[in-house]
Amino acid sequence: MSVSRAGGPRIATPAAGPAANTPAIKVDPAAPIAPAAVTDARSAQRLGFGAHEPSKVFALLGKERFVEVPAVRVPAKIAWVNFELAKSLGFPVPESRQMTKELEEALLSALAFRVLQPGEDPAGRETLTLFADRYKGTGMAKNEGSGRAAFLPTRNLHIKGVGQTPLVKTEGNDFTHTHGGAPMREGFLEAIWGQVGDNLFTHGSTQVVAVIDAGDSTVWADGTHEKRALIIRAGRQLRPAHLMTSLFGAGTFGVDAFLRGVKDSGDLVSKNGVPDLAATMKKVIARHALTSAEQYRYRVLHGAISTSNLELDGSQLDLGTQTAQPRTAPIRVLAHGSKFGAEHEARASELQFVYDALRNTLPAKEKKRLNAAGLDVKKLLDAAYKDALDVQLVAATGLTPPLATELAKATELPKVLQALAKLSHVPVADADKTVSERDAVVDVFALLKDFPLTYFSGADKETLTARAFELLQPVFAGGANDAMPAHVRELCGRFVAAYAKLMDLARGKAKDPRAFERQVTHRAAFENAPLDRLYRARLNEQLIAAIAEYERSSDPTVFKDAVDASITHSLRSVDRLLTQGATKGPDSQMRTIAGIDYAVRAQGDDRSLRVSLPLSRVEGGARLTSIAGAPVLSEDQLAGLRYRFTTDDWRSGPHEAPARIEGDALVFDIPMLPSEVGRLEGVFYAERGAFWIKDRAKNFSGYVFAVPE
Amino acid sequence: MADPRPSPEARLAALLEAVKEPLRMLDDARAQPPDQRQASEKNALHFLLTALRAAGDEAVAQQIDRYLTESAHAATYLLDLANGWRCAACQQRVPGGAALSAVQSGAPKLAIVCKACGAASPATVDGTKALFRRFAVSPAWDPRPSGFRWDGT
Repeated sequence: MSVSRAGGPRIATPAAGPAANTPAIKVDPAAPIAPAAVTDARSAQRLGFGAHEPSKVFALLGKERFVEVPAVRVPAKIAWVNFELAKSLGFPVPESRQMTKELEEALLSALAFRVLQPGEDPAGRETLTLFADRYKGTGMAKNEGSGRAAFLPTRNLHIKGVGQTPLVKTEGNDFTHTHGGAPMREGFLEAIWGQVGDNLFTHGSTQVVAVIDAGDSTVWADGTHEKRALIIRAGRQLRPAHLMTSLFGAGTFGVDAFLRGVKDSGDLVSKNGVPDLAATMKKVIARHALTSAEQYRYRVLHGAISTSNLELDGSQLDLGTQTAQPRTAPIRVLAHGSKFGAEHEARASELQFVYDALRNTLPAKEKKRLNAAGLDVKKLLDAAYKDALDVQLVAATGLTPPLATELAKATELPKVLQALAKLSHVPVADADKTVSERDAVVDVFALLKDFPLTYFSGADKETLTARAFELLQPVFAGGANDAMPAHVRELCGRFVAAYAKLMDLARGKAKDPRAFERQVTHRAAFENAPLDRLYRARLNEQLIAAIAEYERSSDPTVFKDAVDASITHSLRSVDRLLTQGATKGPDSQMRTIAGIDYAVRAQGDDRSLRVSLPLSRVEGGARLTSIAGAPVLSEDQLAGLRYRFTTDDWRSGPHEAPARIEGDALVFDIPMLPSEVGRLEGVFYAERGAFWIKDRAKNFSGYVFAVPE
Repeated sequence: MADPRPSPEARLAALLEAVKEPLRMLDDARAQPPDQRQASEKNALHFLLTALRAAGDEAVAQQIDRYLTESAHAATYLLDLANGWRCAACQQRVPGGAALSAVQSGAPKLAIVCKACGAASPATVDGTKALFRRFAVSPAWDPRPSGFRWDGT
């Protein structure tokens, strides 16, 4: 006998639309779609939905857009979890943010399911109905939607690698597209890029809450095997392709679903209570333009833009092909994918299909009523992208976003930077298996990263130009006829002039010139550092090695370095860091990582990093209650406990901070200057008596912080 | 009467247990990227010595203490040296470096260099105590290799 999960929420969706030629628009701007279960941070609306609420996607798309898929509970274990996201989704995450038996059981009980194949006997195992979503668009052949993934009834969570669904329509013996599994490696790529994307991109990214090991692998024709996982993904996950029923055709439900989606993302424009389709679409276009510009600024390529690999709201989705690169070479990951610097064109093309298809479902009268005017999406997105890229490049000098927006057109700096960035030795570079280190002639972001130090030292124009040339680290083809060095020198001269004008204008708006210089220097150094852990070729190698080690040892802590440290090494947006975590009194950016509490403290003009370990007194010492194993320290060890740390990946120091006891906590106080930004990691140790607190053979994966002005 | 000290076997076992984790740190340090390897190895060696010091006998502890004070660097102990300090010029409390004078007199004067404005102002009594505890201070000491600014006096 099988056990069916009872008491699940009924899927409440709008009634199916009326006849195809008379779609009625039922969007009520005042009506709630689904309350968010968390109140913290901008991602809450996209990512955090309550445990007992129906998945929001059902209400957005309508139930006819889903196929019910019977699933069965599988024995499994958690390979990796995003503790903060799990907490916001209602799972029992302890304050110490460490795995417990209770948490693992709760996660597996809610998430570890796979598709029950036709004719398969559940054999007494718990069953649950999942929902595979229908969609169409470019790059899908005859498939009709999620072929290896399905939504859970609640939390808006999507299980990738759940097994083959009925939406797979591939003909013939195509094992690659019909086996229904997802590589564990892909789960980690999505987990890493999800959290990094939420930091880098204004509109964020889908995120992985857990990677679950159900103990299986894909066995390929050559006999090799690839470890699989259930990838549990959170987010709005509304793809433009969800509105489509064929390559170029939208369903009659499409306009309704579009309007519900844009209302949910806050992009719905209405006039006198009537939705304005064209004005709304322009807001969607602006979102995608901004995401593309931010990708460029951080040297990120999605790699596989299609109708179904985007979110309608401009956030990132399907991240298995995403990569960073050291410079700005015209890299590509897939043979048919877009090149770096041209992904906005692919977005425009996809959005044009979708918008035209939506308009085509409307009769003339409705078109007029909803202002569904024709739009040249390419032209609009291109213009919005150019504007957004100007702002991004000016912000990359170290100016705050409001100042960068104000001064984006004030100088030719963005133009000069783009001219430098486009210099390439190759028309296209493969970034799937190799790292493109010498294909771009210069490294524009290395220049922006370190130029403030020389500029604010008061060097003359000649010195600045020479320094700019040096920081660009040019790679020339060589030869007597190579005109490139002279061209780069000419651009360096223009860069220095434009940079000086920009900084003069910006300094003129600053209250404290010294604080302004410090802010520019720290921001530029931090935000322009390359995402060197996220070069696809290297990251894949690292993940494959970590998975092999995991298969050997069954120890999921191997993913702390491969996944968690890759994330913390890759956060770059100072503004997003400033709003991370909780705030209480003088403390902000409060986070607990592996049982250790971190915060940035601002009291008057003083700023500091505050690291603390909760303790409870026991006879002869104290117990560190939040640390794995709750170790007990003697009074002697407590008195000599120190934190040996770095904020710059051990490039300077090491530094040490002594402990002091404050109430029920051991506290380490590290004074900082306003605007400093970095990644704190270290080891706690007792000078008197061997005692360490650290992550196995690694240091803690780190706390990334930005000190407010 | 039985010898109250642990047996040599027990001491050896304790020693091996104590160095296990620092040795793993050393392995990890060697796997770091080149620009981080040196500092990571230095950390691991520091922990290894700390472990040996705790597990060894008094003579070993003294020998290690001597090595640690002779090899100490101002950057490592800057927060100890700047304990209670605040810049006399700008009132910030973030140390950027440490400066010494009158070392040869046997009564060195410690000043802390402000990270915000670059001005040097005298350390506190606690900071000066930390100087004597962490460094091998003597009239013959050249503090520059230990990361201090020094006026040569």
